[in-house]
Amino acid sequence: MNNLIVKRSQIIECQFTGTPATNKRYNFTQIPNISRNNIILYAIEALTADQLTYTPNNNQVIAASNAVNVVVTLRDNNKDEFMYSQPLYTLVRPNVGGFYTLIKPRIINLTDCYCQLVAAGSVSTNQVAAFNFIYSLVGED
Amino acid sequence: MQKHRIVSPLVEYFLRNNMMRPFADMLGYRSKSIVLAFTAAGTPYSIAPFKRYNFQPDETLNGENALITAIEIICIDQQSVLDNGQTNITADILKNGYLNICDSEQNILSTIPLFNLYAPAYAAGGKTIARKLFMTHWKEQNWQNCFFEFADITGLTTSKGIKFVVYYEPLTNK
Repeated sequence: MNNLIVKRSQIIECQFTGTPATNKRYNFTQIPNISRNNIILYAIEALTADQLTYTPNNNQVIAASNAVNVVVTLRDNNKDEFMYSQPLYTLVRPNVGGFYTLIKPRIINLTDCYCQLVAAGSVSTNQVAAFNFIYSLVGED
Repeated sequence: MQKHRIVSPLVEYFLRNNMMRPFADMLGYRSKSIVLAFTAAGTPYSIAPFKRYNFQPDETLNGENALITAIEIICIDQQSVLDNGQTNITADILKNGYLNICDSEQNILSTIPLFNLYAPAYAAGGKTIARKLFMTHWKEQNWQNCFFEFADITGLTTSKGIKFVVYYEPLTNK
């Protein structure tokens, strides 16, 4: 069996600002580290409060029970929605045998990526959907 | 009859580019245990939310001397008493913190929830998750610039400490 190697990683977040509303697009928060055009994303995991209670920005992460209420869409630098409305639940490692979700390596446009609530559930204002992006730099071995 | 392995092109690409390796593969030529003890208020390792707990300088773990291939946190269910005599932390504390791996210019190479570094098999939501070591390919780190933080300090006391095990390959061509 193979296991993922993490070259570089970054906790990123998508904040549900205002009263949480279904179907509204909540874009990811800008992270300078991975907002350059030389970032190649190759794996992803989602985090709930069971794995991380607060992000480094001191934002509260949504409860594990709300993972089923969130879907995520990732866009690359060509605006291609290569991961469309993926249930956040399936990106949480304890829900899928501890595995990371692998992605065909590609350059992403972070602030174009977004989360949507399919049901408000018990998500509170300013809570965040948190993710760990595993990436490498262009040309890095 | 010749046997064929079925490997997806994506997995083959990952294996070829240091993004993946067989789970049972050698983790590193060497490992090192690092214990940090939480201390009383007013001292460098006193307990406070969002306080940076930097590692002590260790040149053998700097990028110019070592390729870090894996890292894990040892909790009380694996080692009850730490090497320095303090009580080990419980795994449920890990969800409150994260580790930052930084280079010599304080650029962050990796931010990792501490939960990810807990390697043993564990039960979550009625499911048992097999042991999975957090494998890395870090080669630009400056160990004393690396640090971890806790957003919530519930459960941390001055009688406790935290233990990391770092697996690395020394770079001998230096």
